[in-house]
Amino acid sequence: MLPIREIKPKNARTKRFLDNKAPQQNENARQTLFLRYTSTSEITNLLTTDLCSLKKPLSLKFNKKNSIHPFEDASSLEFFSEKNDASLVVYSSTSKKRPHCLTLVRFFGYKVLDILELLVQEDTMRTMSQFKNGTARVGLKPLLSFSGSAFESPTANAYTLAKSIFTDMFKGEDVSNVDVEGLQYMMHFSVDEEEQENVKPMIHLRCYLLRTKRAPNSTLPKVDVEEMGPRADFRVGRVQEADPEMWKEAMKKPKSQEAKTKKNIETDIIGDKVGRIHVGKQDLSALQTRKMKGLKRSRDVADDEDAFTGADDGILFVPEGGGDKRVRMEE
Amino acid sequence: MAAPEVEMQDAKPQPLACDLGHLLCTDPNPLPSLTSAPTPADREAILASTARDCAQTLINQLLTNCPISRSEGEDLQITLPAPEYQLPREKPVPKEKEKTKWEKFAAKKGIQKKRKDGKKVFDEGKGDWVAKYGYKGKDNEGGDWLVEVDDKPENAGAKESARGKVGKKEVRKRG
Repeated sequence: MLPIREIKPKNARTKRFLDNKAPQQNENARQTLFLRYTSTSEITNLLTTDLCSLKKPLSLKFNKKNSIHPFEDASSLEFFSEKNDASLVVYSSTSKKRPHCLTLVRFFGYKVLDILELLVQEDTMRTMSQFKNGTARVGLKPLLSFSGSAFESPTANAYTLAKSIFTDMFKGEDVSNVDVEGLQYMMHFSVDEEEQENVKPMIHLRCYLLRTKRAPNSTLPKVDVEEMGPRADFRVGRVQEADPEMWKEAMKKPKSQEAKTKKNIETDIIGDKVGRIHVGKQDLSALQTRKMKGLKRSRDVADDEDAFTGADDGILFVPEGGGDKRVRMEE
Repeated sequence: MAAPEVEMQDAKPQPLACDLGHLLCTDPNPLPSLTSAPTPADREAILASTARDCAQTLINQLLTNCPISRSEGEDLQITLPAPEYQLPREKPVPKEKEKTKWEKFAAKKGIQKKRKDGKKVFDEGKGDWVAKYGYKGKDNEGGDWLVEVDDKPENAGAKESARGKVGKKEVRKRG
């Protein structure tokens, strides 16, 4: 497919739109696009509907059928990504070989970064409408949690990829403030331990509403969970990991976001913040030393001799010349 | 300090880690085996209890480690730190804009942009901003509002010298 031609803005509105779409230092939240293959199952349809509604307003769902095979040729997906400015695609399909399949595709600059295939288990899948506990408000930032050792593997595998993609997909907008009222639900991803060879452990997706109660003699509340749905168990299918070059490019931080090291400020072993400041050269000529009767200036002795006797007193601990002074800093 | 009920129900071998910027909690402990659980309800109970521990840890961390402020709209706001778990960018880092010919030249010559000073200055006596010059201007305030007519010709330039302003052109003409 041809790339979308470059548009030169003719009016201010178009310019604003294009500027918003262009690469930015602090990026917009990722938009997720839900697409379907020519054949899908009831299970995947229900699940994508639920996921789409959880992700509102950062989601977009298309109902038209597409004949795309993401692992073979993803160029159409790239087109969709660019056209809709969506950098995540959830592609649902079903086939005899891969029943109830969700393919999660992540993009970098409208090019496929990585792909993860998840096969939904038919028997455990439940939709949101099957739970009667109510739902959370639309567009809230969920709490995320990942349980299981496979997500924390030091080497990159399908599960660390799944963690990265799931976090990217559901974290919502990057914000510096959240409303306490807005902490309403949690998405919990857990992975089994590997029990048999050649059988990849399952990933469980559960969504819970949080119920907080006041705990006796504590300022912190006691948290309880009630399932909200959707519920799904996934088996991991095919995986396409990111091209190392592309990954490196994608993990780059813009200059404004790099943490600046502050000069002369350190943290010591105890955890106290210690700063060094320059105090300038000290004037030692007017220094008051210990007063003793013997050192008292007699009237007939000249002034310069007097200055010399004070110096070898041995009680001065002043750094020579201008020196650094350690100062404990208030945080 | 937290009461025992608020703490984990059973202590875990590895502590849970939180990334408060993403509201993310990671539990590196292996999940209890689900195949040993006889019924689906038992399996769900195991998952719910691990989820509950994560939620409790996250909420505790949020309430103890983050500054909480109450805004005028009567809702409590939690200020989140910057996220630690780095995710790939959506689009490449924007390239720096190319410098214009003038900007290059200015950098080479060390010419710096001068900010306009504005047309008003703060008058401490009045406690207000007044015009630098012109109508009700600062430069001619408190001037002689009554001037005696001077008949003698040597004082013809008095007005100008009083202001201390002689234009460049004037100087050239005189010199």
